Amino acid sequence: MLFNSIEFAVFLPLVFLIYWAIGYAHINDNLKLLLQNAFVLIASYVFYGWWDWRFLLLIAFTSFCSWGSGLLIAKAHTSKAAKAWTTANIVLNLGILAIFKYYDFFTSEFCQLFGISLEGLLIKIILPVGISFYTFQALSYSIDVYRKKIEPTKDITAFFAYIAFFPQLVAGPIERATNLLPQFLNNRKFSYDQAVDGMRQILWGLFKKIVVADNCATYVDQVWATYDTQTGSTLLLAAILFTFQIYGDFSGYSDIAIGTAKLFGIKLMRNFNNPYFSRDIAEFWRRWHISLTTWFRDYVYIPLGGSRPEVPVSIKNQERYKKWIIVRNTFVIFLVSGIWHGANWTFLAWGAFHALLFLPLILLGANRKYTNQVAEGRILPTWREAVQMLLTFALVVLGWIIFRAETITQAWEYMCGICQSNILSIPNHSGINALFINLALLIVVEWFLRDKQHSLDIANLPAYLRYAIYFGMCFIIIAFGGNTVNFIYFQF
Amino acid sequence: MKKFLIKASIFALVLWGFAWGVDYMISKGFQRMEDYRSMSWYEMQQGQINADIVIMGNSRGFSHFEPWTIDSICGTKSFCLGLGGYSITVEDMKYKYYRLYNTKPKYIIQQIDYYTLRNDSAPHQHESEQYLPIFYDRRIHDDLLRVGYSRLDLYVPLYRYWGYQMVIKNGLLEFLGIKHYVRDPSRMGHHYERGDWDGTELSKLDTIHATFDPAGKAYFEQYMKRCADEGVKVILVNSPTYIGANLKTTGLDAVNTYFDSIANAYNTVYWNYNENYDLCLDTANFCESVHMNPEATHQFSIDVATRIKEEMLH
Repeated sequence: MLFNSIEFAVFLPLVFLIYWAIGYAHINDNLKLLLQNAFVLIASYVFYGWWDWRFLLLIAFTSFCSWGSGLLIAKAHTSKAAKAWTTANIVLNLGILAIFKYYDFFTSEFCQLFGISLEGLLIKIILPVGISFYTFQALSYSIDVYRKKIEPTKDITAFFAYIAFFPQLVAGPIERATNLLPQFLNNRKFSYDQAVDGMRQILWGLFKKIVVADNCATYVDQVWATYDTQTGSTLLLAAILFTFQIYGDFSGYSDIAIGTAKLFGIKLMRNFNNPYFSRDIAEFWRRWHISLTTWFRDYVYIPLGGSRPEVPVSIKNQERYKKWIIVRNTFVIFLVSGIWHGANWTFLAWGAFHALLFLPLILLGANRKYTNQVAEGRILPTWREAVQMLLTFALVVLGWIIFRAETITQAWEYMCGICQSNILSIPNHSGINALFINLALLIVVEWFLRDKQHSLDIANLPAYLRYAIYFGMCFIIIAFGGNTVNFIYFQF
Repeated sequence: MKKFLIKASIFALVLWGFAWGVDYMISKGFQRMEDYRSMSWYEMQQGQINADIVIMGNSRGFSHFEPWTIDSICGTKSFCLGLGGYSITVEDMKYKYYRLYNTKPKYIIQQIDYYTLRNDSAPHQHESEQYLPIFYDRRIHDDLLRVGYSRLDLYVPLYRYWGYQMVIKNGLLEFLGIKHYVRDPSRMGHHYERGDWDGTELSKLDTIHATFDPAGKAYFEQYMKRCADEGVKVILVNSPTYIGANLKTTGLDAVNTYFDSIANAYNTVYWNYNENYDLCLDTANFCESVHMNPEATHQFSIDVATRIKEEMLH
């Protein structure tokens, strides 16, 4: 079920009403909690099963194994046994992910390399929507139990609801057990302010998805389909619009997910924090897909030694060795992050590209230079900040070309296409004038509300102004909505 | 909770009213536009057409037959009901709509080809904005549902305009009197296809297979029967296609045999202008393989009108 569909517009109010009807029922708290969690689980499975019910078995299996491993880890008498159960769960989950997502790709690449016939080797299974998201969520639980950051739960209903919670099931944010699971283990109270804020965030998410991303998608798809005949300026414009498309698409989805969760009294983590206002690549990665970036930081980067690796005393040049380990770890997480997005060399190249951009900052120790909001306390950025943001944005655009291409050759040809002499010509902009206005609206609103949790966090405005904005947004969504396009991140 | 539900309900109601108002404004504005896709619907709604001959068909129907040429030769009053699309299902919907407001014609010139017999699940998707003017008319709702529209399109305000940014913009501007929109207006329902063509693109195409769907055939036969029952004579005409395209198409013999059999069954004629007809032979007569340019259209209209006068009107 898509967030931007009529089915969801019917599904959400129904689920909301039943959920809170249970919440307000005159029954004891434990039963209420159990019923609410069971209802969330059923609703989430309906939400997912709307796409393909067969893969519900996979989610249930992943949930059961991770729940069971949590109990076994806690019961283990030795740390070795606990580690073994954790490893078993990791291997199992990553194994499932590998089969569904990577097996065909790597098998065909391997066979092609060695000239082996592919006949009968490929399994050709469609990729279950959201598998990369809920698998990571399941992994975080068993690892956190092993690290004793969280107590294992015996409540199987709460755990299954934690894995399958429909707002974030198919495209995140990838939640941590430490944040989300306790919310399913305790009674939720309805909060008017939280629910209204959730509605606002949903509205802004719909704007980003339907108005910005879907309209960008129409233009971008047309240009990419005929990129070899387009002028440099048109290719550049399409690359910039794809940058907004992927942002509108993914951050829009996250806003709708977070807003929807708020309606159920659940707080999800923030997933985007104005990434295109970043002053360097390190800052960009602290603001883009935060739930995945921090996941890799906590479960891959830090276990590898992170930025403070232990250096054996036998090593002569301690500082140099340390730098090398940090560089290695950085490359590892960017490459893993790249391949997480899909089974294609382009994703790996995209990860490597960002690792290379990160490298100078790591070597100079400048990767945590910008941890605050840009132009904090000021309306406009300084010239220096503006140039830094533009440069970072340009590099990100370059990265998205690699990401959007089907092959590395295509990405290269596209970049060469941009560098033609006609880069200075006026790009083809027929039919997208309204999109420019809406993009300007997106940028201006996000800039002025950059210190807020989301860009429609306008609770402090007078009521008449708020309602004018709500109706205005609704009108813009209806009037300028593009043709419905699937969320990009569903494929990951 | 109560406060939230009350406020949310009021908001939803106001939003519904707001959407209804905007929908009304766009629809009213849309009616004033001079756009070839929508004009003929409004002309039909006036109930002033009452033609002797109506021309039916897909885009070849609305571009290949000049009503004024037919009228000048045959001394009749004719009107074109062709519309961009493929199959008889959507064409017949337009005819039914015409009949809601106008008297029955004596003749129908039915442009046919193998596309006529297709039975797409959603034939309305081709140039779908052309149907927007009739959404308010409940008498056509069953037909709109049959050709692929949903109840949401019909009953949820503004939903029908989703994705049609230009229609929304121009409709509103037109309603507010800010701008009058004129785009290639139609004349008696007719609209020319224009452009130069040298056939290069055709040479890149592989073989095309003319298929026809049993459900499409069944619908076509129902339509023929209904016309016969009403006493309306249907003249089946397959207007010119460039010969190169026909040579690349397999299965045309079966299609022609089928239309011949239908003509016999309903005591009418099937005129196939794709065999031994000069206009088919030269790319210069076409703007692409299946659409003739205005000059060739005029010549073809004279030929068809003369034949109608000689063979049908006596």
